[in-house]
Amino acid sequence: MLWQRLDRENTLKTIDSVKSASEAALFSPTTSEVQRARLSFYEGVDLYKLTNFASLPSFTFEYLGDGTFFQHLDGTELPIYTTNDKGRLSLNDRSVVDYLDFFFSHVMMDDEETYFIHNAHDMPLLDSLDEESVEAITGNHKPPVVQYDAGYDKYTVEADLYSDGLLIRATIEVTASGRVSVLNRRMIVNALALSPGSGIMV
Amino acid sequence: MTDKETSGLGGTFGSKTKGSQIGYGHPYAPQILEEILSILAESKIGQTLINVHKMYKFPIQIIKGTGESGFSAPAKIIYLQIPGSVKKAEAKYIISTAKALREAEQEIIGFTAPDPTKDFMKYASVMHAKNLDSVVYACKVVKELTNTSHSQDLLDALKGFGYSDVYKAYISNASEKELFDAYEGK
Repeated sequence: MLWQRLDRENTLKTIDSVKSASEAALFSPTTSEVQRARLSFYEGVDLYKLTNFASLPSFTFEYLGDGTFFQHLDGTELPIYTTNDKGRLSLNDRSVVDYLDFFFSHVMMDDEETYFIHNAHDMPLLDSLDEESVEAITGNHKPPVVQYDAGYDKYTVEADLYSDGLLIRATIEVTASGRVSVLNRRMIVNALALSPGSGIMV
Repeated sequence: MTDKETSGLGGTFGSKTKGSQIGYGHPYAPQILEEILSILAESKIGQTLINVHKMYKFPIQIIKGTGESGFSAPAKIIYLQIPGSVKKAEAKYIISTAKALREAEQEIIGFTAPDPTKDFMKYASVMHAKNLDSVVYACKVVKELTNTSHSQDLLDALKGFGYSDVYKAYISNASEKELFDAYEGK
């Protein structure tokens, strides 16, 4: 993600659009900065990150926005779907993979933190696994495969997901309006079971 | 009375905003907070942290989001960021709360950060020490909850945070230097 820091005027404008009056300290313009990153699957909508450096850990909030209207990314799919319904989503064979990467990193589905594995070397927890497990995972990982169904105007993506210690091959459906459904899951590697040496057993 | 009622410090915030229509308040904040505090209270250290929280009355606000949680020293508020779809106290939020409660306690006992504009190196050094201290407190809580049904989830969550080396060092009675080495990933 290539982040660009906003100038002071646009920073203040953004903070004014997203701030909560009841919790002004979290949105203090003097201790906050706003960054923006382009997203390949939206036209005219960017990802905004507000960081308040007044304390450590610094508090961050992310939004989808067009500079005037903002949707707070709250861990549910609703802000993403609301943005999609404004007609700004533009999916193709390449951007649909970026979209899924973004979606899974901002939405907790079925109360489970699930990571979309675009590149096995970016997998969370990789550092905490032993060499054997890392090799098993990277050796079993396959890049996402995209198919487009013109009849239903939807994409089907075969991709690896990581959730709860398991590397899973999943079939994911993405409609033209960006609705995401995981159709089936097949376990490839139980990373935690492979890695007893790296466990933190009492 | 629940902990929340006793202290009057829990709950949602920002459901109505001025300047934006964004509601940051978490829809399940009361029940999540009650559950977190109840699980923490099963540990002696956790109960002590809760007692300090009650005595000094710093609020705990649960907001929707996926960003960092912690104690805001300027606002004197603990902010927990939890995805809006989450309805229960998951292990990672129990650890975040224990850590944030200790961060608040640091403020109370005077373990505070110096002015970064005067001596940034000293500031950075103190901030690392404060963070390690709060991570160790989270490890103490996890250790004390070893024989409970929450144990494995808490250990997995510690690993997810990248604190497993500090935990291993802590349970093997490591020295302060060894803990710091573990914290730095040496």
